[in-house]
Amino acid sequence: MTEDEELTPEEEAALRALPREAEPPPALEERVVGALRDRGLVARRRPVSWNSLAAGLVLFAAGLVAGRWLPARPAHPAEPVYLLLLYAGPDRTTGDEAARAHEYGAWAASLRKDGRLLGAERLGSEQRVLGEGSLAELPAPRGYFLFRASDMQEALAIARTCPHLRHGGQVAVQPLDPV
Amino acid sequence: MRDRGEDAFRVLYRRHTPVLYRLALRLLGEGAGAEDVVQEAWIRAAERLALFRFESSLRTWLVGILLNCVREARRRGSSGDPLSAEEAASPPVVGDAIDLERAIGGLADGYRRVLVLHDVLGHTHREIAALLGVDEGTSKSQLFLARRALRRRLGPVTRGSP
Repeated sequence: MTEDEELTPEEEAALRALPREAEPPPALEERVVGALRDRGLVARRRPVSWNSLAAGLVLFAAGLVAGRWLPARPAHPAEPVYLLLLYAGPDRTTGDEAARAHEYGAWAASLRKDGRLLGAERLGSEQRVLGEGSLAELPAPRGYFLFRASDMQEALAIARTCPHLRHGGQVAVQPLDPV
Repeated sequence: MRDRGEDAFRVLYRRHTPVLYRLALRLLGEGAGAEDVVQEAWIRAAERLALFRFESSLRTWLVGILLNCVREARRRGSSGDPLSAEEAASPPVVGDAIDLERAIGGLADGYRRVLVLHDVLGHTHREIAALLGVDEGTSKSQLFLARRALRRRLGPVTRGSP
């Protein structure tokens, strides 16, 4: 029995001849795909629905590819998530709404390209307040963006570039509770 | 996979999973444990794709992620007997191949890992060092010891002879 460091040609051939692959159980693929879907890491197959866009799926989404919203790639899975709420700003009937929608959509796309965007929606104007507090009316946000940032400082730096501010609106930034 | 399409992912999955699955079987043994680490490896790969810098092949990168998942599975104690898994996974072949698989399955984890990566899968010591977080010298010395241990398991008969 040789104690040499090198393999004999026969040993090398025998090892290299061992199978390098094994067919995984078919069910494993569905398990993996399902797990990725649950985590938003792959997009579900979803038909393009122009009717759903007309029903008010986010004019922001009109700036996204082919009207189909794809889950964002997280900047880093450990980075905290921040909610950006849009308040006030121009009414839908004033100015060039289509241009504004495109601008917001482009901003959302830039967040997604950086791997930050987790969600974005425009909200309807109708608000109903429930509960026994003294407030009959609460500030009604116009829309929201959900994105990852390393900390509040970075989240604010991102929020300052939101086009809503350029159109006279206000935004609020809050972190999601990590607990 | 970067654009998150399911179809694109399935193409990658089908291309790379057979190698990952075989590696997991060799390192962990028990079938269900191997499936779990393969699933975990793909989840981490999808989460970390933004960090993939094309400094290695995608396959090598995936192998690195799988090795980490295997290490964690072993620490949790959720692995089985490599010998039994090789019996289950291998076709009913009589002769040297089964003896060799059994001998590899009986090696210590560290020896088995470096021997499979180098002598079976063909990774270089440089790649193995990066995958395992060691220096190349450690990879070489581990391989030397692994081969010696393998030879002792196989006995005095030369294996793989025509």
